[in-house]
Amino acid sequence: MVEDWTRQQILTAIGTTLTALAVTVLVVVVVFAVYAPLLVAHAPTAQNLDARFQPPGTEGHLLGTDELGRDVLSRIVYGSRASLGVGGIAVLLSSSVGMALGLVAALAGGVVEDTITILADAVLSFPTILLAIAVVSVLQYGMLQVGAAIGVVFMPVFARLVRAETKAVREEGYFRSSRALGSSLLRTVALHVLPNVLPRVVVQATITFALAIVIESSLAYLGLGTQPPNPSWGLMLRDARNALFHAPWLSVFPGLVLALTIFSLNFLGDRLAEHLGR
Amino acid sequence: MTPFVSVEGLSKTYTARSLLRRSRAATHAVRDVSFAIARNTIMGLAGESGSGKSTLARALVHLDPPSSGEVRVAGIPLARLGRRGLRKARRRMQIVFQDPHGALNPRLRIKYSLGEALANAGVPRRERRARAVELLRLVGLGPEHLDRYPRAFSGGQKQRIVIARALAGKPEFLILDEPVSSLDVSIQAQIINLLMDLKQRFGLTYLFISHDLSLVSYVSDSIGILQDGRLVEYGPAEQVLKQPRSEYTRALFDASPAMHRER
Amino acid sequence: MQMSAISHKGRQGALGVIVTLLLLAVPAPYRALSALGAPESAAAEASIRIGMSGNPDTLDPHRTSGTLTFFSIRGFYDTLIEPGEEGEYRPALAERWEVSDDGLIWTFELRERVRFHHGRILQAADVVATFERILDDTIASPHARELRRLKRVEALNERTVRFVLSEPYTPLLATLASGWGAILPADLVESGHRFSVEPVGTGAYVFVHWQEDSHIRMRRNPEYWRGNEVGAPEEIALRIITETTVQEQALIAGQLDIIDMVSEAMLDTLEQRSDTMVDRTLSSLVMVLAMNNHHELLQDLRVRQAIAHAVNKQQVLDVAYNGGRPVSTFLDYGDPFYADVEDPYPYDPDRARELLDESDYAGETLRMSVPQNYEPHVRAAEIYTEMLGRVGLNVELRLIEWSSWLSDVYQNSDFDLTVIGHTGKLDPDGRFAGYDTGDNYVNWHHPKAEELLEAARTEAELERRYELYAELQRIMAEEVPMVFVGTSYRHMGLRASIREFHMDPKLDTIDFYRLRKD
Repeated sequence: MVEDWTRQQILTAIGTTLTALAVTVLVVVVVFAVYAPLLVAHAPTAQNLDARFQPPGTEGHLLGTDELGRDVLSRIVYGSRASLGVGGIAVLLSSSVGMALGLVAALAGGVVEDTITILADAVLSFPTILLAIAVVSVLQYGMLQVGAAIGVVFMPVFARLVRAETKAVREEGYFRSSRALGSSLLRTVALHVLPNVLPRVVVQATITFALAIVIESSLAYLGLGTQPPNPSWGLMLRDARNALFHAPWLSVFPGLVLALTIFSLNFLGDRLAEHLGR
Repeated sequence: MTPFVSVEGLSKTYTARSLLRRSRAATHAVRDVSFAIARNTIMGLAGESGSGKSTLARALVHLDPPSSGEVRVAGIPLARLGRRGLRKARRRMQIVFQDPHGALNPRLRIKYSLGEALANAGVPRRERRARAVELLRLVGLGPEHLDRYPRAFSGGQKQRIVIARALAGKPEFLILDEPVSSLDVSIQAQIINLLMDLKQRFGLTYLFISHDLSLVSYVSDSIGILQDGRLVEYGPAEQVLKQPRSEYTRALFDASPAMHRER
Repeated sequence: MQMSAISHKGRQGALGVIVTLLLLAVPAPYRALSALGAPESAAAEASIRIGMSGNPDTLDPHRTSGTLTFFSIRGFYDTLIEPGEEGEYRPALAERWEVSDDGLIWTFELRERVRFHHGRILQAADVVATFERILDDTIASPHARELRRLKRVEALNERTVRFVLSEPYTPLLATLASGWGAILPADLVESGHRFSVEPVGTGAYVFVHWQEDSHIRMRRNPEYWRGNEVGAPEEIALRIITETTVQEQALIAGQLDIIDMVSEAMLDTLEQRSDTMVDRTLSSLVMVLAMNNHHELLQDLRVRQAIAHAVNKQQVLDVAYNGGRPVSTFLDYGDPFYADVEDPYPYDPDRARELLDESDYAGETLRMSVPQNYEPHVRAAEIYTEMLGRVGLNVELRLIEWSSWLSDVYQNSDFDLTVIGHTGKLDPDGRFAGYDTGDNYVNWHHPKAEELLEAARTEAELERRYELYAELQRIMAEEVPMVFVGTSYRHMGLRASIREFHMDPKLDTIDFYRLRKD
């Protein structure tokens, strides 16, 4: 019993530490994105063709320089803007529209619900990255467009989630009571549906955020995301691939930052889900 | 005297709603039901489970619009009110549902549950707390309960809160759908007494729905018996109890132990 | 419950994509190596494996100007004549030829007993069918224009064919010797055979299979008319590998014998290793920063001059194109007609700024459209953007697909700036086609150019042609319809066992027939 107890304690301590680390990583990334110009000495696109492929630790270039002599650290710091921007736009769009669709489907029922459900399933049945590529091809490039494309891809996830939750709430006595009390639909939804739905939406949002960043990177890697010379982590990986042996730091650092960010978001999403029960 | 509530030929049937889903199998239809309730009296509505009692209650206040028939409250036909008017009218006629546990949102403190009803009644935000305390007092609870969550209360207390909430809009007509059947017998009496008090005090009119005929006969001025969605018995309580017209009513009486004792 | 199922799926998805990304990012060469399979056994040594940087857009010689197409089909087809090492022409399918005194009639005598891969003997009718096909509107050959002075092709008998011109036109020989002058069998032309996926010619190698994104295989033609000298490989396989790193690692590992891309970083390594080497030839490509001369700002010579002054050509060549020789005009450095014009607008950022100030330029943003699949051009475009930015010219990069580049930029001139390389042509007239009439993608027109080109085209005397083309090159250097940046090197990586490697810079093809491996 005593052993079990300490083991439990150790696990909890590890969990807490990891959570703190994950939060720290995300805070750092957000600080990168917001205060990028204050944090780095070089513009992310400033080239110095006389100082190409400088290894990490070179004076003035903590993480070295790339094939055009651009500062890798600056590009990573600025690259966070593409990731967070796209992630933010994607999550805002997918969660808000998805939530609205889910609510409408659950509350309206009938043909409206069937239509929304079928459309959501149709979109979900496509491979995510292919769908994103298709949407980007139509919308053209740009942070807004890529964010919107990824947002569209994830809308059905939110719609389904919210619809399911809302339908469950609809059967609750307090929902019926609220209607019977003469509350407007808006008030009923605000008081009784949203508080039940929002925690799940938040958890889903963190996961979606992570996926959006990955997809942005993948699109950039395929040449469909952020446009050069502007930096994004995925684009940096793409540019680095021909110098893999020659200048490995060009792949390692952006890859590391990308991986850390994704794992932190996913980890926090998990913790949040655990915390909220079910 | 014109009745306060009158129901004429009320029917409610359900049809399949979509090609993709089956129709709702569990709800029970109501067919051609008519009755009237005088102001400040109680009509009891009894029937076995599945006889359509709750369907009738919901159709009566147009929570589910009836398929046909007319409902007038204080002389006003509900069907003509439109959505907004109906919502306003609904504040004057409240339903108290059977299960007090489900009727309160577990995520909301009591003050917000009461606040919702007060907001519907048009009470300004800054007066709501005082009014909420007032409502709690009416049902024998105090201001210390305002900040608690529903899980802190017993079943009986919850039902008191639900009743308090129903009173927020100063209603004239309450539909009590099995208001005590999920409660302990000892607490049932307290709630019944509370409801009787409130009726006297505010001049309320009740439609008291229960599967328990003895309870219905104890509180009601008039009684209706519902079987398979039809009103098979309807009249002043006295008359129904002494000279039931239908076989079904008699069978119900026989099944009710309390009634035996009384006879 | 539903919720947890979704989130779970979501996380797995995220993980999957991360793993994919990491795979893409880090061990790419290893993945591809395993796909190529282990080094092949001694029995398979009779084959030569060549890494090729992309898919050809088609295998039909008449429907494209894509370099990779001509690289791929070199072994399948022959032409009537061939370019010699010194710029002269040598017999191929035609044993001899002669031109009439007025320069209007060219008569070719065909070689005997030349067999197509499907068995038929080459006849004059095949030559007629071939050139009628190039001129056929439904084929929409990008080279049809080179033949616009061709009135008709006629077979005089089974082995004699005659080209009748409307006016004297010396560059005709270059067209006949180019990859797009490939002779196709008349019967298959007639039946609408899909040469785009299944080439049939008279060449030293017979087409076997094209697996898109994977390989093109060909086997030795045992009945080749030039004969089968000893030691020729039984099979040649072109492996389509788009990543430079993958090609390099495969060469080092001995899984490829020749690779068509070598990165700057690997040049030294490949040269120093005992089992690999680098073939370095000045290519016939002229890298340009092209400008739309109809653009409101770019039609102003001062703006074009400013742009030229802003570009450090040698630096662009070194960083983006693995080195090369700067030029100041439209012909490549190795072309016999190249005029060594001194650059009128050398690298001079200050002068560039002055010129911009003098012009009407007021901070507008110019769009630089770049084909996203050509990494050197993208890299160059990034450098140009920076160089132009330093002299105060705002440029926004726009990566577009190759097909969009061809249609929007090259066909419809819908662009401000673009980055591309112009391939060599056997005759300079091919390179200048369209620059006389203004029918070119940069919308450049100059009355003198029209005059000079017309004169050069009908001039038979070589010395006089040199002068005419030199004059034209001087005008183009002054006018800078585009910034002529330079000629890049063509680096090919080879295994040390490769012999008789002959790269034709003008055609950008390997002579498969002569290729050997120890």
